[in-house]
Amino acid sequence: MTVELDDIHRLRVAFQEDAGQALDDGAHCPSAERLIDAEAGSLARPELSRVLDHVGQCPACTDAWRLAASARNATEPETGPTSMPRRILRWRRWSVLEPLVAAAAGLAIIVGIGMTGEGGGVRSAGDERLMIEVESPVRLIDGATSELPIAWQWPDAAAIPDRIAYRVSVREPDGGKSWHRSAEIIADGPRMRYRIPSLRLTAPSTLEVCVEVTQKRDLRFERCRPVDFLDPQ
Amino acid sequence: MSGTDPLADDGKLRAALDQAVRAMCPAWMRDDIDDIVQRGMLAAMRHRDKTERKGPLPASYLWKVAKTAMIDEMRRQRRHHQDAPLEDQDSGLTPRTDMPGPERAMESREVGIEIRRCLAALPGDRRQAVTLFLLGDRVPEVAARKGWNRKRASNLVYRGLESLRECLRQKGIES
Repeated sequence: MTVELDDIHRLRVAFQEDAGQALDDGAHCPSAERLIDAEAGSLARPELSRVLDHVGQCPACTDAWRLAASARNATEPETGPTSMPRRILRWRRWSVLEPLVAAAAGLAIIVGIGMTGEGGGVRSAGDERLMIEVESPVRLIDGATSELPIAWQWPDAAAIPDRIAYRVSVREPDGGKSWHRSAEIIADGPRMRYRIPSLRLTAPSTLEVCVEVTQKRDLRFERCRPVDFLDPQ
Repeated sequence: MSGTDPLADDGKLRAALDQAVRAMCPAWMRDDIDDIVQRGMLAAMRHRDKTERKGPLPASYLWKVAKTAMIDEMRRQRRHHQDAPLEDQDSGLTPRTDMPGPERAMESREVGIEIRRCLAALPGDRRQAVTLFLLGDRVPEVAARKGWNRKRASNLVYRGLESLRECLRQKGIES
């Protein structure tokens, strides 16, 4: 076999996309309730360890774990078809802090968003398919050595017209500071790349990287993902 | 009114479950929402009968029922897909728009098998740290789940990943 894996992202994808059978044909798979509790952190640690050891060997339960995780992160349904996701409200608060960005300089990150999917066109705000997951590695450049994946997938992205605006932001959740910054688009197309020119890191950090899509006039969708940035080796 | 009109109660229950499922359901399972809701309805009604509960079920319970039904349906479909004759496997199921093409799926499948084999060979804590990491957790989340401090979690994840890479290299999979 001559498969190459060039980064952690590909390891994760290979692990998660393994469409193999359930371990022992499912005979020893934990129940859905137990998986949900394990993923939510509601099981005692010895019990969690047993579930994890099973999930690590069982492609079907890997899928189930990821489904439980995405379900846990889902917000409760909004009542109106034009109501905006809650995240956007926080985004608006960030924009007040935008001047803080001016003080940051140096490191840059590139966000590459590999979008897949087919058909569809512009969706209404009530369509949860815009509650996205997009495959997107985040890379530090200019001296940093570590990179970790940020995973989103967005099935209908290919159908979104050019006029839709993208904005990428980072947030430092632990230090009490928040900022956001619009991304420069380096390359568009099936694989989109963005650059955030002003981001300085002086220590290992966990940052929240967000991609926002502005659609139509007032409808905006945002997805955020915490990403670890480690010490340069 | 709740508790006096079983049909109205069931309608409300179905509507609540439908709303919860739609909020959580990934795009590739959206054609199965009705089945998932039905599965959830049966579970919720069994629970209601068993507990002789009057009035609406708590929203938190319904969300858990919806999650459970979604996972059960996903695993059921997966079993059905694997049991189907080869010539039927691509014709009778709703296509997952986020699924890789056949070649990539085969590559991922082969690599996935080797990853799991290598994972199984790692020592306990390292194995579980890497499993969580491959499932999408960040280091702080791994630490929180396992009750480790961040430094320990970080060491276990990254040393575990190195061991995993080395094991894969020995199997001809370069990272």
